[in-house]
Amino acid sequence: MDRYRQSVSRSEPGCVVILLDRSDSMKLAWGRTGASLAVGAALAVNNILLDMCIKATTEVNAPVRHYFDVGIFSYGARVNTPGEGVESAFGGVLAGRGLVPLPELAEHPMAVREEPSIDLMPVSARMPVWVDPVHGYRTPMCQAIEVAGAHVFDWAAGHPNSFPPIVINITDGMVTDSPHDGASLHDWVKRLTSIETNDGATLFFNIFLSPFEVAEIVFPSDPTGLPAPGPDLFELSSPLPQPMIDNARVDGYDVQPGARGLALNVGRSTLLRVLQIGTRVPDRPR
Amino acid sequence: MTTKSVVVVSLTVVCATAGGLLGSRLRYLDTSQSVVLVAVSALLGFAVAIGLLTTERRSVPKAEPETEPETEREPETGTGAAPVSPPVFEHPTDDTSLSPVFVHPTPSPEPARSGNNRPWWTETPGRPAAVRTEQPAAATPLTSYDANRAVVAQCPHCGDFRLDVEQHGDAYAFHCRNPNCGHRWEWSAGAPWPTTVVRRNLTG
Repeated sequence: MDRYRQSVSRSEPGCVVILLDRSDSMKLAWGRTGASLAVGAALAVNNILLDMCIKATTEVNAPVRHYFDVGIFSYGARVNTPGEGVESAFGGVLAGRGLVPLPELAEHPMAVREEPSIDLMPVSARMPVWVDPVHGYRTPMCQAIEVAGAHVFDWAAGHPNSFPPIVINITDGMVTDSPHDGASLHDWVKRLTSIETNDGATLFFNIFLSPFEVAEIVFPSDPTGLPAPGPDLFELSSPLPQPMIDNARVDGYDVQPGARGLALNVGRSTLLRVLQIGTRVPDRPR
Repeated sequence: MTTKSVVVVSLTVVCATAGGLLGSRLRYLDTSQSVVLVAVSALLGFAVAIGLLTTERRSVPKAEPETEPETEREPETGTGAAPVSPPVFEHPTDDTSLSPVFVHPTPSPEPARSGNNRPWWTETPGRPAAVRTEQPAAATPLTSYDANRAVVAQCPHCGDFRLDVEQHGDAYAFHCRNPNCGHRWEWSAGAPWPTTVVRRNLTG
């Protein structure tokens, strides 16, 4: 039986959750951009949210359709309750919210700002902002999966026929809270990816950011030879389902069988492209 | 050991010594009582010092921010307790002349979080129990024509596709339903379809 084939619609919406590392190391500069990893990651997240809103609009000036429920959970520095921990990364009206329907998300950005181009072109544009760059404290990744997993679990129970939830973890370091509540990071990921809809298991993808200018590795099919922490993240990452393999190939990536939803040492523009590939689910049949 | 720890320990020793000397002046103690007094004082002093030190450690932030937080959006400080090292906000762009515009600057009250600290992984079903088994209803077979041989016909006068057709053996009689056209023509299987010339004045 084919899995990961369900298209998104208003009756069968999808679910996208982004886990955003807000640990202290995210303050490091990202390559030659001059800006920090935290700034670049927030920019990419805001870009992909805007991208999803635009794609859910079928006509000019038409309302955004409820094609997705979206959650952004940050781990490391908290904003709403200062200290280390996990919280919803949304600001403004949506602060503290878990999964937010796309139309509501589109109506409630925290701000509209002049933002630089993510691919470092010398242009900028006013765009909505839902997530701010923040960094501090350690990297409680297990706790992030625990918190996000509760939302994903409830969502999957309520949408048994939808495309499975997609959880994308953006990080620049390794977990600091494993084992958490008696379970290792691998255990937490296993718990998360055991949440299923009729169309398949929850997908868990990882994007590793590096402050150093090293070669990008996108969607590897073999952990051998990956730079640290590549092999560990490879084991944690779900295999790319066929529709996303097709998406990646259309985008020019040479994706081999067995490729995982993992990207290492990516730059800003690649981060956005990987997010786009990872959040694009099958089109409706025409 | 931090400077603060050394100071606390030193002060504890000094105070204990002073207290002991003062006590010995006020009341005479034999040897065994003196030993007990010293031991109890040492234990109490040790406990107080450890308590002070560990309390201090618990409030020390894990990571110190390097820059000032932005003033445009202050994080909530909770219930009035002295905030520990606030997280660092960064300008998303280096161009400080660009001033952010906030649409909704006030965070809403903390909404309900489903299942925080809830052992969701122990709950069933992890996968929906009701697996979709019903097949989609089969489409009603069309018997009025052979769908594999169906063709789309176009009026050769106005280009309209709204046509009536009557079959007489191998011959077909067509009538265009476009009220501005109403063209009638016949066609037999094997014969070429009449050349279509769309007349704009008939297209309606």
